[in-house]
Amino acid sequence: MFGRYEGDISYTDDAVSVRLEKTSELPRYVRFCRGEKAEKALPSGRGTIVINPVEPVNLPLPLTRHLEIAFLPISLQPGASQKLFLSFPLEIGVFLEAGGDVHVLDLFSLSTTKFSLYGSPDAGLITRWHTSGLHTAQPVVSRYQEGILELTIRNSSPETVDVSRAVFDSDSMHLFYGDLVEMAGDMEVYSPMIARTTVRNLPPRAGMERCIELYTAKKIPVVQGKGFLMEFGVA
Amino acid sequence: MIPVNFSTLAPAGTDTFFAIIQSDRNIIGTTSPAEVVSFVVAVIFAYIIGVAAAFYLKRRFSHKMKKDQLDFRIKAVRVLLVIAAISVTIPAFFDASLTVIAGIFIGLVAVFALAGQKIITNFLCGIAIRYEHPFTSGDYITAGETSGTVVSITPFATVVRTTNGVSVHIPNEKVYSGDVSNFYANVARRYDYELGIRYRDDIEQAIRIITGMLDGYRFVLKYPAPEAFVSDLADSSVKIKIRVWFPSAWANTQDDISLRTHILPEIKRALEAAGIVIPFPQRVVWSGNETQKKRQNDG
Repeated sequence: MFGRYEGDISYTDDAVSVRLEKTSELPRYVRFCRGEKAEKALPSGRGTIVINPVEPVNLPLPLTRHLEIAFLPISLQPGASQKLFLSFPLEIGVFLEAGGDVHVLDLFSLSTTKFSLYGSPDAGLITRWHTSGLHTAQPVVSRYQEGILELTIRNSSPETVDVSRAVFDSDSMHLFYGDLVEMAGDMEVYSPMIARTTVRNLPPRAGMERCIELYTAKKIPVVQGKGFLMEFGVA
Repeated sequence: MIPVNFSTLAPAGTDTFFAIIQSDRNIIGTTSPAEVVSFVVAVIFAYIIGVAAAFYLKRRFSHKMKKDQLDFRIKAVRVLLVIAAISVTIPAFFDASLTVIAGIFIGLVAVFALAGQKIITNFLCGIAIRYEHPFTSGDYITAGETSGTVVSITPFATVVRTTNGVSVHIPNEKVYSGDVSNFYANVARRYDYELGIRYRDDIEQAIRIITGMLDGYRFVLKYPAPEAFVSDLADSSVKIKIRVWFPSAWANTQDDISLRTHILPEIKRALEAAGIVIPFPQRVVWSGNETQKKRQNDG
């Protein structure tokens, strides 16, 4: 399903169906997913349609721009570093690319949505919540439902710290797809309360395609490279 | 300010006009025609600059700021430009120093203050609201007896749109001096529900069903986790209180009735599917003979 389409689109599996219907009038983009239908007419001299995963914080409503991944607590000694593989939920974006412009046609997801509060109600933030297994090698995931985050956690604090969650800002997310959807990130733990998370702007493996980010398509200016500072704890 | 040979560039029909401007004859008190023209040109120039500045600010900041905040800043810039233009050119009208102008201005303010105390109070409270930010446009608030979404904060009133689409202007004095609840101030809001089950029903099972059902509801926050506990042993039922946290940004788009109709019917269905019944209010009444028989049986 992921890729760039100049001509026809036709993808159907048990959960989702995406196709381009040629009618006597304008071509029509039609998508079915989890009992929900989306339909849009396209201009006849249409450009390229791109389907790729996007930052998973937009559905069912854009209530947050932060993704929180919870996992089994792991104890890290001072100065220790650990590479982990976690899963994250996927949202799929369909874009119309023409004349140097990228327009969002559709957004859908096969994963279930849950929100959470990171921090206190007055000072914290709402996050898109996801529970992941803790793996030291690439886990098996459903290609259109979950992606894989390669996360390197470093404990820079002078004490042993239990880490059981990581919060990422979608403004600095960079997703790539090949056989699976992947991103690579880092988490620098400064204390049991404070850590910084970043997502690398490089594909985790060679040959992967870069995804069009939603903030790029929506022309939302973002400051990148800073990552997200977790100030309400890592466990 | 007007070039001596300016009139030579103008069409022939305007010769008289430029002659008047260049003359030394005063037209208003000690003010010359050239000073009047300078004043008008300066104000028009400030107005044009203000329009250009407004256009630039809208393009630059419309996606970064709330509409009313941006409008306020644009208005401020435009008013300041006009005031600057007037301040530079008007002293010539009076042939007086800025001190005298300031004196007149203060006098006028004093007159207005006496004539319209309410207006001044509302204006000052408007400034205080903007400075303290107890709410901004788009927030859902309750001020006095009015609840609704803040549309704008004008210099004299706060405009609120109620859930039934009525626009209410609340004087800023009332808003500032009264109690205001802002439902958007925090990112999450708690809602409480209460229901009763029969005395013979399994309380633990009911609580398990309720929390399990809430866990599957996407707008109920994972943390703080929903709570369900026995709050009262009432006449007809065991009361169970349910505490649920929602993202404010979502909960504020729902009215209280919608929040109840989302959750409560689902809980009822889930409980009934497990054989747990929400009882009607009931009372056991014993008649005289029955009471005697009961005593004998108990005795």
